[in-house]
Amino acid sequence: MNDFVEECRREWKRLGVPDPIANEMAADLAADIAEAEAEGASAETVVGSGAFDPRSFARAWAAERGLVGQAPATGGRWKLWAALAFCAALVFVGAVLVLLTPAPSVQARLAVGAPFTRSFHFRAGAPPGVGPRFVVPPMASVAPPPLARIDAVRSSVTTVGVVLLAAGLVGIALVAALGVGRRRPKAY
Amino acid sequence: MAVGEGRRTQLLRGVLDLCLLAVMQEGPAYGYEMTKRLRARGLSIVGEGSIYPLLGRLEREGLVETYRAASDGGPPRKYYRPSADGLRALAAGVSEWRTARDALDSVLGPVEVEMAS
Repeated sequence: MNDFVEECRREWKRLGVPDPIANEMAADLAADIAEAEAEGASAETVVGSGAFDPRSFARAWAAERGLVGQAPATGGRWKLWAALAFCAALVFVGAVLVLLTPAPSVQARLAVGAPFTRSFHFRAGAPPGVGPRFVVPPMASVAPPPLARIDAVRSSVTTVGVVLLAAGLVGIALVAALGVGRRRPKAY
Repeated sequence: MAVGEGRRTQLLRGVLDLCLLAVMQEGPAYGYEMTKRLRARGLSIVGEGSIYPLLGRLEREGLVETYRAASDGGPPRKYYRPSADGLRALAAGVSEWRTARDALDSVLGPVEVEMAS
């Protein structure tokens, strides 16, 4: 039954139960189990149905004593908080990018949208029908004007912001669900 | 788990804290000692879970006091006894139990069911 006690001890360590308290609980448990076995009784007499699930048993005991989450230095709760902080940072950066980036101008939409490929002709510096005839190549083959390029960058930044915002919100939901799940030990 | 066992588990779970306070009122006891006192009265917790989480809750709620002392020929054990709040909770709980028991007896007590063989 030492395996059972050791499994409990590992779970308490993972949950951040302070070592002196975990050692005390483990010692009490081991002594009770040893006494029961010396009397010919099974370990189930001592820990009930928890004998088949030491981690749930240890979690329930620590939770009922109010020990879970008290000293998470070696436990896993700090990882949850770190993940939560990271997701919150994602949401913040995403929101800033979305809110502070102006929408692309109409010209940019024309430039970066569907290619404008139709060619057209005009005569410069002369009345209609006079002078050289220039042919402007299709617009798709011309580099967009500076304003359109700036707006294209703005559009990309907004897209990145939306992605970060969504990823952060999904992450927060997952972390919250994980945290709530870990706080609900099996009832004994 | 059979239906009867499940009901017994639910009934016991509702009053196990009172039972623990009652047996430790007879004299301070460590965990397994309480299990033995309950078993001597016909209450076995095998299959019903464990008393340790419940003792943890009683301790957290200030309903028990604890101290460590050497047991008979064994290692030092953690002994439990009811605190003043624990004794008040025990008195209130026993009163509630008796009221519920009387009401249930008035419904279930007269029932006699004959099963056709």
